[in-house]
Amino acid sequence: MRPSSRPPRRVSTALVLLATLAGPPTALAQFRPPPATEAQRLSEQGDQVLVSANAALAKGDKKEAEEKFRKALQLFEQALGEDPRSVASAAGLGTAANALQDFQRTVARVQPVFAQNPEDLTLAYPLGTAYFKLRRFAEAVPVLEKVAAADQPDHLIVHYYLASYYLYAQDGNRAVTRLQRYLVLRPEKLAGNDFQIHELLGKAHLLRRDAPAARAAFEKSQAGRPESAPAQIGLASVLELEGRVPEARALLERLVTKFPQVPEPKEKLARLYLAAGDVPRAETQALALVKVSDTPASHLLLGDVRLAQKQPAQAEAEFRKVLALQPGLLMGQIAVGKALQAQARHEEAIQFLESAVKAGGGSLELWATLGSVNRRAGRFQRAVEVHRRVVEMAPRQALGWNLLGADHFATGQWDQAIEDYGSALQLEPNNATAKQWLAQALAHRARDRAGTQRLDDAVRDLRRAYDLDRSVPMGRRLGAVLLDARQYAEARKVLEGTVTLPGATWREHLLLGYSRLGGGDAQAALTAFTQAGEATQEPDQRAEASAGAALAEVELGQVDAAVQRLTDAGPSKVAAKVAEANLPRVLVRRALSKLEAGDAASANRDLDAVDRLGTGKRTDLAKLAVFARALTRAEEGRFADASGGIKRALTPVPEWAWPNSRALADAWVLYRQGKVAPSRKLLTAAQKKPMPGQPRWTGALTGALLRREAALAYASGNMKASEKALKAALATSPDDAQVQHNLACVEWRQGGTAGALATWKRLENSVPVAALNLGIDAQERRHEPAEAVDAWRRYLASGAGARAAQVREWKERLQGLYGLGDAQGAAPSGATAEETP
Amino acid sequence: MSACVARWSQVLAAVLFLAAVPASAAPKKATLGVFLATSLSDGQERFQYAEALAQKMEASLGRPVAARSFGRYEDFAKAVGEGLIDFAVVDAWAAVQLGAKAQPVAYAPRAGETQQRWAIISTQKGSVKDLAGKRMALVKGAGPSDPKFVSHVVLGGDLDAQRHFKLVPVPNVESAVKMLEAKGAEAALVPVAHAPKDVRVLFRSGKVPGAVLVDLKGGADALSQSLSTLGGVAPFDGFTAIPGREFEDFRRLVTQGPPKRQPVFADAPDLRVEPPVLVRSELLGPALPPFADDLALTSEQPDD
Repeated sequence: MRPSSRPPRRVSTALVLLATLAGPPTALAQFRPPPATEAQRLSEQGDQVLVSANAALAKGDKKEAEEKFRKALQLFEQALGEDPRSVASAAGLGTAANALQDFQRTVARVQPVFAQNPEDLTLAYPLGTAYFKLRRFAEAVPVLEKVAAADQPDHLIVHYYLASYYLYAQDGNRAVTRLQRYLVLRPEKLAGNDFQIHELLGKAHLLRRDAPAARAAFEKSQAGRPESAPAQIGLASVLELEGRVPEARALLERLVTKFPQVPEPKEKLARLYLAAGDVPRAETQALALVKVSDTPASHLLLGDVRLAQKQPAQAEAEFRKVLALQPGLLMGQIAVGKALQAQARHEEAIQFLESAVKAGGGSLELWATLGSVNRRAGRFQRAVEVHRRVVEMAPRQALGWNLLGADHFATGQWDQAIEDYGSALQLEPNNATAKQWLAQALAHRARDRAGTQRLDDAVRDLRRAYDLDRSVPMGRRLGAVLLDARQYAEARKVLEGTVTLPGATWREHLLLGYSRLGGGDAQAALTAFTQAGEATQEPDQRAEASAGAALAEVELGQVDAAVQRLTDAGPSKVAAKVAEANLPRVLVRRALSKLEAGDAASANRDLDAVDRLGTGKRTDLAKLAVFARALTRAEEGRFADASGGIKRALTPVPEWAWPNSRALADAWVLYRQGKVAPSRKLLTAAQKKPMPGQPRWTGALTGALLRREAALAYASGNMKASEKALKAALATSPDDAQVQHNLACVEWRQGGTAGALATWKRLENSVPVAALNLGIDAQERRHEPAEAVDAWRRYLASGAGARAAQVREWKERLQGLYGLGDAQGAAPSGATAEETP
Repeated sequence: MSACVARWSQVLAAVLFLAAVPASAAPKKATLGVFLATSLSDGQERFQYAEALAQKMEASLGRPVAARSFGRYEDFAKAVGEGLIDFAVVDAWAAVQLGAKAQPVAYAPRAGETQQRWAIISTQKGSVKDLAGKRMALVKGAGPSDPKFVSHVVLGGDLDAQRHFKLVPVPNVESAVKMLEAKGAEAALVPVAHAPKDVRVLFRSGKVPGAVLVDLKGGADALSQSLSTLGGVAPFDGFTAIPGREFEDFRRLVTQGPPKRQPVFADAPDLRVEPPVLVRSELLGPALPPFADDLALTSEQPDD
């Protein structure tokens, strides 16, 4: 309801009286020496009659007062006829006409003079009052503000008028200012009515959503008086504002009992019930309300209850009663339109509102509703036309643009919807509706763009949407599109924020895991995937989290665990697809790890599994599998297969290979084949441009080739070549005990037995075969079987490998021949005959 | 000797019988020689083995096979030298002594073993070293090369038998044992399986090939092919092929002795391949699932 349409009677009566009492100073101000003109004379007479009229009014003689006001009006009209620019005549005329409620006359006669004297308050006061009474607020407010600014006690009521208007216009701040000013200026004799001003102040603070101030105002209004329905209703509103709805409801339930004839608690209570979905109780209150108050507001409420009861026909009947009580009431017209639409009587709804628009001369709300009804009826073009009219009618409001945005949104015209909501936000940067639906429209457009691979555009839209709507769903969308665009670092940033928002789910943690994984931070990814798994009990969702965790584990080198997870992916189809897409890659990587650990058999098993699973369209992966297989072939001694595989895998050079990978791999195969010279040639070429991480291994291969060369030369009796290779190996790794030992072998063969023996003795603890050679020296050169047996016993005790059987035979033969027992004293000489294997 | 004469008369009868048959239709008769002076320790056993084997070979070869069992190496070598023997089952050491004319075809394993250990047995305490200058009974082969088998194979080159012992030749293993028992020698060299329970084993050798089937007239292939259906003849199992060049290695060991032991290199393990040096498998990043579904919106519409 409009506050100004029903100003509190008590206060307004008092204020009119005050204004009347305040009148004489204005009239007295006209009392001056005899005018020089006819107009002045008539005006002075008018002032005198005006004084008499006010005196009669003060005595309570309304009839005489009215008679005198009419007389005064006549004199001022004559004076103004004589001098149309006379400020005094116009001011007097305004006062008399306003006293006679003839506000049209005031406007017609005073406005032209005021236009010439815009700063004159004697004109502004009656003119502003007349505008206000005629509900021409747009013209009244600037004039009254001018009067109020002067802060004159005579014009006290202007503050009240303005406050009433501001309450009507929902402008709490200005209403508070005016009401506070009123309280400062009002004479003491009017203090008894302050409780009404506090009541209005409470309402103004409610508009400002300032619950403490509103509560204080209502409590002041209530203080020292019997329980007042308006103050208590105000306090209920405060409770509602504070979110203490049950308390508000309880208070209102008490008020409807205590003040059964007061309609407002019933209305508020019913609205609370409706909002809570408690339709039966809402209906009870609405019906009771209609009984005590047959007003448009009551029927509006009952209509809304009927709508909630899905009884649109009954609702329509109630809404039509609203219009019967107050024809042309905007809310009633809108409600009827909506009720018709709820009955699927779209055309009727449209026609009804169209005629209301025509009849009503174009209320903004009506136009807005008409457009929206057209939209809901699927007549989008008409909706847009009508809403464009709303934009034209209120170009400085977001309303029209929001409505247009909704029309375009309904038809999926995202570009236009985004433009509309953008325009709304330019006018009202904090408009919640515009923000919300602009974000939604951007998200819709982003989804369409992502579907056509316009990922960058989609990212841009969702970034803007996320700026407007910092919610979990929007964060997830932005994160997801960034993931699809492979912008992992950005996705991570967004999702790390999103998972901290209230309402974040396993899904956001999952996406965060993938963003971290894509960005190369597998450890953090694993943490996120684990959190995703812990955040849900759904088996499918847990399976998806587990699949993600598997991918992180691969990167962390926990390949066995990953293979296990991916092999048993769980019930989710999505997880199964992740497993299917990644298992071959994971197995190839594990095969490479197994090769590095020297386990070619396991590597082959993994590669067999890759062959069974297939690599799909991933040719790079297929080639890596071929490469890994080639390396296993080399381990198995199938060198031709190895070389062929390496060639196939590295022609042309895939992204995962270095430019010198082919040369290095071939060099390694040749090394395993024992082809030292060609291997070294390739290795030397490959080493010219070493790649990161290669020098250590290529150095090791160089050393291995030298050792192999030395061994081959030694076996063929070429001691010089063997010595040369060993010395070269020693130059690169002087502390290599095996190389030192082998060099001693060469030395021994060349006659340097003393040096060789010294070396072997020195190295015996680190190179077991040194003991074997010491035994050989003892038996072959010095014919000291006991010493040889002892040395070989030490060799065998070291657990040495391939030569153990041979050396054991040597040792036992010498023991048998020379009666040399083992340390434990088990001499073979006393044994009886028995066959041993 | 009487057994030998009887055998000859049988052979003669057979020759006469076969002479009556037209030459073109008569398959040529083959002669199997058996000289197992050390693998078997009983003359009767050797004879029975030869007969039984010849009989079986007749069936598998599809031609008559006569058997001749020899008690002494000289007799056997002479028959071979005269071309009277087509193929023979002999002790491996004897096969070596026959030289290149004896082509090894298969082992005659016994209880699944193609090889056996040899023992120096003695009635005395002590070690082989303590038998320096003592007599050792040794089954006689070609004579001059007999010590090589002992020094090179049995003693592995670690002791010169001829210098260390006084070698006493005997025709077969049972004679060697008897010689020891009769104190005609302080020691004897016999296969471990034939060492009597009551003597001391002073030394046991490594494993040495036992009985071997050799071809003496260039019919190795046909002989080899016939073996698959032959089966075992007690006390031996069925013939088995000689793996690779094992017999040739044995022959070389007997004749040339073991190679001189040389210092051996310490073997470094083969350098392992390090795939991360060769490939950047991490470039094949994970295949992430699509996230398009996360862009979905509700059908909620703005309303006013």
